[in-house]
Order: sequence, then C-alpha cells, then structure tokens
Amino acid sequence: MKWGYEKGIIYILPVLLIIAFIVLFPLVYNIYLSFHQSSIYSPDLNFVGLNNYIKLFNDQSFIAGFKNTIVWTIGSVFFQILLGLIAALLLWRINYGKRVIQTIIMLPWIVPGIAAAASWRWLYHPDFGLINYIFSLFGFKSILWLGDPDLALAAVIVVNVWKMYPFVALMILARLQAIPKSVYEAAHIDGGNFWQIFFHITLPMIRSILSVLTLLLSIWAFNSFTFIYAMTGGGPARSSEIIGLKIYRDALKNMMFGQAASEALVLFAMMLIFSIVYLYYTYNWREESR
Amino acid sequence: MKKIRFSIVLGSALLLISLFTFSAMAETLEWWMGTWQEKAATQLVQEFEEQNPGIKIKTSFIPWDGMHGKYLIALKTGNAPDILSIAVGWGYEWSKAGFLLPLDQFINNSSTDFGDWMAGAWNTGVIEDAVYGIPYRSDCIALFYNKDLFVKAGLDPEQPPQDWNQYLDYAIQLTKKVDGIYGSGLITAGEPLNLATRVLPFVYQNNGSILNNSKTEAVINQKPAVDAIKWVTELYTKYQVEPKSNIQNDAESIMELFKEGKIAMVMGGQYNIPQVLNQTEINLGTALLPKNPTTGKRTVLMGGWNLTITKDAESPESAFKFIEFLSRADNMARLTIALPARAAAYKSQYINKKYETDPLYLVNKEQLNYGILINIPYKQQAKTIIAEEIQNILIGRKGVQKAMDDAAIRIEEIINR
Repeated sequence: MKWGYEKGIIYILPVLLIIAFIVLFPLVYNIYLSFHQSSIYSPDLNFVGLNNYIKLFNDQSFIAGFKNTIVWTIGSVFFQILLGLIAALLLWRINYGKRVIQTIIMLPWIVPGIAAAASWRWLYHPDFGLINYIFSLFGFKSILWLGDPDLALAAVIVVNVWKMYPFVALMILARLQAIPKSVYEAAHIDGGNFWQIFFHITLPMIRSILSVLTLLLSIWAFNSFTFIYAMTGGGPARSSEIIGLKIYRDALKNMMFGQAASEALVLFAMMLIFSIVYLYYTYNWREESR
Repeated sequence: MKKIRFSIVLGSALLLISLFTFSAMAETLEWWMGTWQEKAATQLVQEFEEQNPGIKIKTSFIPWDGMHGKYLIALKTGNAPDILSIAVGWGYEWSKAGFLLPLDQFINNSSTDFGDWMAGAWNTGVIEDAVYGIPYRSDCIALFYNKDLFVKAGLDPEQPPQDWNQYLDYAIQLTKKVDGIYGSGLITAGEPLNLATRVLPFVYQNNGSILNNSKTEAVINQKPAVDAIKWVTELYTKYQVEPKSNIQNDAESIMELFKEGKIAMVMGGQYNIPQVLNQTEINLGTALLPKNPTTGKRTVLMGGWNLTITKDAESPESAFKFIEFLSRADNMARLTIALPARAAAYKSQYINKKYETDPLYLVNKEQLNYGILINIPYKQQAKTIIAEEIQNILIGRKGVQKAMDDAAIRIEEIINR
C-alpha cells in the first residue's frame, strides 16, 4: 500500500475536524432550532415542524425584508464594482501623485464601520447635515434622507458603496498591474481605440477578479448589518429593514430563536443557490472563452 | 546539597498549594452594570473587597446600546452573572421567566432598614408580592423648555404648559419655521423603545393601556389609547410643530436640537440637566409633563435601576451581602447619577445637594409621584410594535386607528403564542 494521498489526509484530519465542528455544528443546530419554538418564559424548545417556515412566508415583514435584501445587495454590489473599477483604472493610468490619491481613495475602507455610520447620519441630517446644505445652495428643499421610506435604503446603499469601493479598486488594480504592457502596445499598433481596448483586452483580463469580487461582495451584502442598524435601525416603519437585521431582532431582541433560525436558513439557502448558479455560469463562461 | 534542593522543591510546592488554597477560598462574584458609573462602581468594589477579604467581585460594565439583549441571552443560556443591575422595566418579565431570585428571605434576615426606601422606588422591585430587585436609582422624564424662546414667542417663561391643550397652543406659538425653530420634540426615531416610552405616558394619562387588566387582550386600539396617540402624532403630521427630521432623530439628536435652541420643549431626565447647563447658554426651565385635560392625570413611565440576584448565582448569600453594601446610604448616593432610591441617601455627603434645593432638579423628583410601571408579558416586543406602527402614522402610510388595530393584532399574536 502506498502512503501518499492517505497520509496527507491524516495530517490535515485534525484541522478538518475542527473546521467541521466550527462550521457544521452551528449549521446543524440552526436547522434543529428552525423546527422548534422558544419562549422567554420557558427553557423548553417545542417541536413545531414546518410552522416557522409557513409563518415566514405569510409574514409581510419578512417578505418586505426579503425584497429590501435583494435591492440592498444588487444596489450595493453593482455600484461598488462600478466605482471600484473606475477608481482602479484611474489609479492605474495616473503617473503623478499616485500614492497620495491612492491613500485618499482608500480612506473610507480604513474608517471603522460604526464610526462611518455615525458620521454619515449627521451628513444626512435634514437640519444640520452638509449634504442638505449643499442642496440648499442650489435651491432644493431639505430632504429627509433617512426618514423618508422611499429614500432610506438608497441612502444607506450609498454609504455601503462608499465604504467598500476602495477594496474593489485595490483588488482590480492589483490585477491590472499584472497585465503585460506588450498586450496594450500591440493593441495600440493595431489602431485600437480606448473602448475597444477596454472591452477586448482589459475587461477579459480582469474578469476572474471581477467574478470573485461579485461573489464576495454579494455574500457580505447579504449578511451585512452594521450600516442599516446604526443609521436607520431598519426604519422608518421597517422600510429599510433587511433580513440580516430582522434575524438579529427576532433572535436577540424578541427571543424567537426558532423563527430567527428559519429566517437564517432561508437566507443561507438563497446565498447557496446564488453562489452555485453564479460559479457554474462564470466557470462555463471562462471555459467557453478559452 | 540534595537536602537543600529537596527543601527548595518542598517549599515551592507548599507555597503553590497554599496559593491555590487561598484563591479557592476567595469566592468570586460577577456583577454586570452600566458603563455610566464605572468610576464609582470600581471604587465601591475595591472598598467592599477590603472589608470582605473572602469575596472578590468581578465587574463588567455594559453599554446601554444592546444591554437588554446581552442580559437576556446570558439569562436564557444560564451564563448570567451573580448580580445584575437592571432597568426597572425588565424585572417583571425576567422574574416571571424565573431568571431572578426572590429576595424576601434575605431581606427578612437583613439588618438593613429597607423601610427607608421611597415607596415608588421600592415598588419597582416588587413583582406580585415578592421582592426581586433592590432599587438604587429612580428617574423619570419631565418637560424641559427653553425660557428664552418662550420670551421671544411672547409667552411667560415662568408658566410652562399645564395640560395637553396648552402644550399644543404653546407649541404652535413657539414654532417659527422661517428661523428653523419648532415648539415640540416628543417624536423620536432610533431605538423604537424610546418612541414608545415617550408616547405611552399620554396613553396612560388618557386611561388607555397596552393590554387589558387580565393581560389577555390588546386594548391599544381602543378609544382612550387611540385618542392619545392621535394627539401626539398630530403634533408632527397635522400641526407640524415638530421638526420634520424627528422621523430620523434619535433621543440624543433631539436633545442636541434642544441645546442648539432649535426645539423649545422636549422630554428629559434629570441626568440631562447638567449636560444642558454645561454645554449651552440656554435658559433652561423644567416642569411636570402636561396633564390630560379630561382625566387630570400626569402619568409618566417610571425609570430607574435595581440590583438583582440571578438564578445562576452560585452564592446568593454573598451576592446579597454585596447588594446590602451598595445599598448603604453613602454608597447609593455615590452609585447613582439620578435620584437615589432611599431617603437616607439624600442626607449623604456624596449627594448632589441640588437634588434637594434646585427647582430645576426638584421637578423630576416630583414627577416620580406620577410614575407607573407597565408590567405585562412580552413588554419589549409590544412597545417595539407600537413604535413601528406609530412610525407608519408619521410617514402617512396608515391612519391612527388602522395602525393601532394592526398593533393590537400583532401584540395578541405574541402574547397568545
């Protein structure tokens, strides 16, 4: 018997077991909880079958939270990638003051999330905020950025984009710097214009990092919590509540662990399906383009 | 040489054993309390440990934001400390859930004069004839107003509004939208419980309630409650005497607007008075909450903090000994930043003498006479639901009756689960 592959497995087994415990135990316990009901007044968990899930899909606040989560995720990821890409291209192209501009662009990413949220709340303030002040110079009336149910979620998406686009820019810039210059020189000799070069050389070259970023940012946006909790608390009247915040409220404020577990599992399933489909298509796309 | 080495080893072993034995003998109690009295609490713990060498106190200071959830998780999972400082509003649910120990037996055997506690404060720790908490701090909100803005509006700064009608009338007169000044600041956003805490006094003043007396049915959608909520929300929606931004201002932001002279009347606790006086030039006035013109009630929700022993306490006797220590008049005066719960603490050298002499401070003390505690199951959830539905009224999504009907349905779903 040859000891190669098997030996390797034995070496990494302890780590595998630890990871399995850390990842699988909470997941399995969460599934178990989602079929039970808990109460502050009783230490017992009562088995309720699929009741938590049935309730979930009849719960208007869950459906609204689900829609908000989709808007939040798509809005955040799309603009994070777009802004990050523009920033990366700018940084890649400029020759003077690159370090200074790079540092300035990276600042939002360095600021702690909760501090950023507190600052933005005042920036958005209708009476004292800088944003409304600037708008007022152009004759606009005071806008309730965080108090208007139609604007609150969008206003927080802006903050989420502002916070994360530097990370996207950094990742894309690293990939851009790895592209051989000779490719661009050849394109220029062949008479390619800016857009042709961008769509036929740059974009295909950074496609892999864009795929990874889209997946990562989507997962982070799905699970995010800080900005909405700190800036709107999900309000007004739950108009900016996403599922992550609802899970927190139901579990830690209302002690409805069963209900919260079922919400978490639905969120997990959504993310899992999205990841599989996304990876499947990006893999196939990459294979086809080879 | 061998003998010397043996002696060193033996000596070290004995030293280690004695150290272990000593540390095992010293009992360690855990105490969780708020961050706002960290300095005083730390000093008191040090003094207690000096006086009781067998007991060590491990203190954790918990910030207000998220405190309720953290406490609840710890209690529910059996990881709570021995002693918890809890807001008075949390005692009912937690005692009914069996998280807290009844203290009657300890009180009966104690040499502390528990008869010295003010009745209103003492009652916050009594749940259905058993004592679950020893109060050390009492507070409630009262009306804060800006006397300068009163003068500017042609109002007598020494005559604050006495009832709801006068409050509305004054708020209309005080509102000068061109200057960005508003008469009233009752509505808050942020933590939903803050909004409920500000609106519910008016519901109870109007003989309304969240649940019926038997706590089986929601009555927040009945006329007394609906009328009160209509009155409060119309300050924002109809009369527009509240800043539009109050839909997104939390309690601190509203106090900031008050300090900036942008809001003329707000609700504040005694602990806000030094902030306002030290940070602004405002000519501050304090008054009792305006009363209901029909019932004449000035009801306010009772606030404050109680010391409790949890079911997870390993040595309730030692925990109570520590509570007795903190309840000494001088120590209580040092521990609270609001009104102390026992009479003797007002005579302490550590007490802020203004509590007894300054009219600004005396108002909050007088308002305590009108304090009530809402003792109902699932209170936090019920208050959150009411706050959310009030927000629906404020943004024009629902009428008052519809919003409160929906609140009643949601509250009943929870209590009948």
